[in-house]
Amino acid sequence: MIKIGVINYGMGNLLSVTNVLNYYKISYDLINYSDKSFDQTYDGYILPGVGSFKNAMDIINQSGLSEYILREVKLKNKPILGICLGMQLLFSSSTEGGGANGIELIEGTIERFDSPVFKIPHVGWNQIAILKKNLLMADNNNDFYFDHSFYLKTHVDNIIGSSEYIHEFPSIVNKGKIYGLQFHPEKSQIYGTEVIKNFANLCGESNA
Amino acid sequence: MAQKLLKILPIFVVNLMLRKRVIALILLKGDLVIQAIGFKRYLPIGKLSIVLEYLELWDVDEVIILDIDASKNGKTINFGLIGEASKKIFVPLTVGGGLSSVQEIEKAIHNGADKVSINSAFFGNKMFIDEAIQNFGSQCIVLAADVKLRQDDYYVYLNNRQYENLKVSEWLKAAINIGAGEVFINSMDNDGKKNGYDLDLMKMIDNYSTVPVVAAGGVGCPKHVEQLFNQVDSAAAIGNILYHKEHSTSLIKAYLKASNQNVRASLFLNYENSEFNVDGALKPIEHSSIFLKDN
Repeated sequence: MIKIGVINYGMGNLLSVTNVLNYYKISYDLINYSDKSFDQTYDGYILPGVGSFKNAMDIINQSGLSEYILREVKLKNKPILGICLGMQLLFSSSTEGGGANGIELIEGTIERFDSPVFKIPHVGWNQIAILKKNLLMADNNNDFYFDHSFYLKTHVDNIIGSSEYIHEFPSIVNKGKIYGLQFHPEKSQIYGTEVIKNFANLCGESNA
Repeated sequence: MAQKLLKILPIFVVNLMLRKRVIALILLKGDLVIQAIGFKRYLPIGKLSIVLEYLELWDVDEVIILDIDASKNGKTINFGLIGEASKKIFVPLTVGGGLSSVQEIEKAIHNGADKVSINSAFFGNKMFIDEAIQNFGSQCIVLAADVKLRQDDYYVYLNNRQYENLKVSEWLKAAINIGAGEVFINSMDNDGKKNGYDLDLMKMIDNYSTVPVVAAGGVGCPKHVEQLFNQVDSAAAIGNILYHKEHSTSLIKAYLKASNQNVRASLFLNYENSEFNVDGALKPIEHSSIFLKDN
């Protein structure tokens, strides 16, 4: 049986993610930023989170979580799923709060939505156009819950799904075994929770 | 590297649109879900976890839970109750009731809240809101106001009393400046009257606000939600009428869909072939049919 490591850097609603894992009886451990060392290897990782990019990176860097994530994902080729801010952290940098570097697993930058007309943040249920076949989500017209003021700019090769608010932006990204979701699957009822289940399945297959 | 990053994604033919939100507004008195009649009388509804179990199936887009006594009594909402109840729903959850420190906001989040609603505390020490936004992000902080029309303008009330002649337009400016992710506006004049949202108030808020708006107070039938969506760019909070009918919010969504409003499709219940009266109520069963979806 597989085990997922849920990375806790002290920001955001972890309970929603663990509620989904419990619901599907997927076993997991919390990897807490306050732990003294990170030496265990899991079949896959989930990096959730909401809030400030810079604050999150400060904690991830100071706690040693960034080396851990780089080791597990880059060296050991373990799958990782970033959710919302967790997805953004996987990329190079953000302009938020005067600028900060991310974990730099994929090239791309995070910028703030800007519009004189549209209200920001982009909050509510929106749809995703699937650009490429992938293991997380089939091509469909379902709705998913978004809540974010910043969006990703990255090479089109990394994008497997995109959505539209003010303009088009990537809502599902993938490179190798690295996956990222701009929306909240844990808050998108059955269609969202199935994405998490699909990720867990992918972690199992990747180790087989 | 700059050249490698595409500024614009390839154009393809789809119609992706942000849906209009129908939000269940649940009021707590102590640990009990209640229905408020005016600002004085209350009817008990029941246990929070059971109410949420139903709403999860009834197509609500979000849930807001407010403890209406907490701040008056110098308490906070019961975090343990929220933690237990949050296991029942997989839609976004906003929690409010006496939250007045970063630690309390953190507790709410650790018990399953995605956002917190702050009303009274915004009038006191604003420093903690700054800090909370730093820690948890703007999108986590919903600032809420109870608003009443008096002579020439709309004013903000605190615990049922007018607050220092504060016009709602000034309140809104302050809320946006501090970095609120959303504003929740409750019309005290319309609350409980079932005659529709205060459209003048909500239009004004919509015009001034650069952040998303949630309108509350006055909804008595599905038609009222349609009126709001037609005239105002805001989400609709549904209070008392949640408890008037089986499938209440599913029926509201079905009516809105039938009226060509851009709302999220139903997940579990199918009222597609139903017919509605002018006020948006479901016609008697010989005209309507309900099917359970396969999933």
